[in-house]
Amino acid sequence: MKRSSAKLLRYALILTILILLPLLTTEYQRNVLTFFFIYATLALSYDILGGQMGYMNLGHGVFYGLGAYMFAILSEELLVLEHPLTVAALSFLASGFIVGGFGWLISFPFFRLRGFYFAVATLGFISLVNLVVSSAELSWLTGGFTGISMPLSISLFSNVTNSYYLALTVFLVSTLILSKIINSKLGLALTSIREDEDAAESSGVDTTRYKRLAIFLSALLAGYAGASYMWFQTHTNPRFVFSLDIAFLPITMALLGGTGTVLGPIVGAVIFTIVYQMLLTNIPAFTKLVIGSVLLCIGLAAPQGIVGVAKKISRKRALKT
Amino acid sequence: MVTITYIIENIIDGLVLGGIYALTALGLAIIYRVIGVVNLAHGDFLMLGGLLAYYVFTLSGGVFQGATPLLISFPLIFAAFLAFGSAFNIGLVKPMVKRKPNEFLIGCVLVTIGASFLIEDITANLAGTLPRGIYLGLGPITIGEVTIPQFRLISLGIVCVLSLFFHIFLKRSFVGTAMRAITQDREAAVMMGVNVDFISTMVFGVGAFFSAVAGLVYLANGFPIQPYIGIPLTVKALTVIVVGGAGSILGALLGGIIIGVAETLTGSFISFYWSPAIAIILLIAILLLKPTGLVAE
Repeated sequence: MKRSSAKLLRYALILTILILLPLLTTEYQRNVLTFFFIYATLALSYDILGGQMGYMNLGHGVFYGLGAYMFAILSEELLVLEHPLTVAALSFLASGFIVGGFGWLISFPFFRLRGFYFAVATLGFISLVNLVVSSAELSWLTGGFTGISMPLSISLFSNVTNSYYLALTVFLVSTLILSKIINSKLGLALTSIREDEDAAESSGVDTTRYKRLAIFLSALLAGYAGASYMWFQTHTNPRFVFSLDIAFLPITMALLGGTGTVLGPIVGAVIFTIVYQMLLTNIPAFTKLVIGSVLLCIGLAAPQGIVGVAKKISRKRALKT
Repeated sequence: MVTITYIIENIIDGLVLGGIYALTALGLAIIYRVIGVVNLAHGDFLMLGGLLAYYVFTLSGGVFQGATPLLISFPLIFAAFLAFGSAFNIGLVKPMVKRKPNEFLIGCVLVTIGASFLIEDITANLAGTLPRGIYLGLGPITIGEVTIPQFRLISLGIVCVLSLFFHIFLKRSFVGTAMRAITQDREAAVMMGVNVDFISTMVFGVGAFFSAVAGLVYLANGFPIQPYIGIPLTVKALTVIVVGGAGSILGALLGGIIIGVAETLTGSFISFYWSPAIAIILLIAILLLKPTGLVAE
């Protein structure tokens, strides 16, 4: 009882700090923090499939990009109906669910595959979506190569501070959902699928249903990450959301921090955001070199990610005392 | 106008492109089969091989004519990439082999994608980001009504000879037999005295060499070499080996040729924009029909 109330107090403290943080930071720092929340949501949503269920979805960026595009397209289409802010709120809420539904739909063909085949097929899928979205044939809807913008009457309302709170909310909701999943029946089912799918199925776990639910949630959260990115940046193009660099982003962050935990992807996103922002502003020519070296070292030294190593060290220390 | 001649010429172009894909995928496939590593830096090996050939070509351009620089760069590539691939394996992959399968896989993804980023950025900073291309200056050959550029024929020759050589190598040589033994039953191979560490290193070297030769053919066919082509080519090679059936040698060849021909035909008859899409559509369609690829293990 006492322990859980102490835990609650700690969470409340962190929450208060996060809410008050915009008052204490410069605009640049708020920018970086907003990016961090978006990336962390992306990494967390990836981890539902990649970490909990053991399906390496290299096309996870599709959900992120579609979320951004859906938000922009919906608010453009609905703009005639209502006050701009109502439209924005409605299309924001809707975009995540549409992307979630899309994830559920593509699960029908893709979940026939497993392991390595699933990873490559999803990686191919993101390139295909990239081609379709940037094609001339669809440019009336998606803006082709040049990309898509939020309608001006809505993007007027977007600034760094409210983007911060939007991204923070999405991030907190994702954290909550993920920690709920881990301690639930769904989490248990997903873990059993990761360890041995055939054994899980023959022991009566309805694997198909749980897998579909997992990809729905994963797509939903990534969709909201994309939509908050769109609100924040007000413009995007296929290169920013569907390119292969983005395709490897969620998985690298999750693996960097440590998959299968809530903390891991968040830690990965912290490191990635800091390193990336520092490099991009100071030595842009060596960005990939430094990120590559970080990935290499983590891969060689700490296969369970940073959180895994930290756990190991604390366990050893606990054994000693 | 679409004539038979035009179609034949396009199919030959497609075969050459397919040959490039097949060579890259062959390297990726044997590395995956024997060591279990999905080498995400594989396309960067191709890029480096092409770059090496480019420098040989430009440096010796005043002295030699025609295809001679390509022949010179061949042994150079062989030596350089056998060493490079072996070093890559010893330095980066071997330290992880003892891990649990799941951790090994994660480690491989991190290490190879990290290596790919490193190679890409170092190359971009040292060699510049300009596209590097060469013109061999060989005239075309006309057979009947079909006109084929000579370098296409040379490329097809290289691809055929190398595949044949590889087949003989697998069937006849000691290292090749050991490779096959490892893919069939790793533990039994160890008990029969196969030095798995050494064979793995050799496999990585040979795989890197195949990819680098694909780079040479890529360059010789007029495709420009740029530091950033690595990852898209890795993805293409992955597509090829999955279409063919992961890790199967025959599958890699078959998959490469199917995708190369399909891409070229789409490019010529539908639109160049959609030619990369056909590979992915084929990938998804084939996997839906046969979830383990064309050639089952």
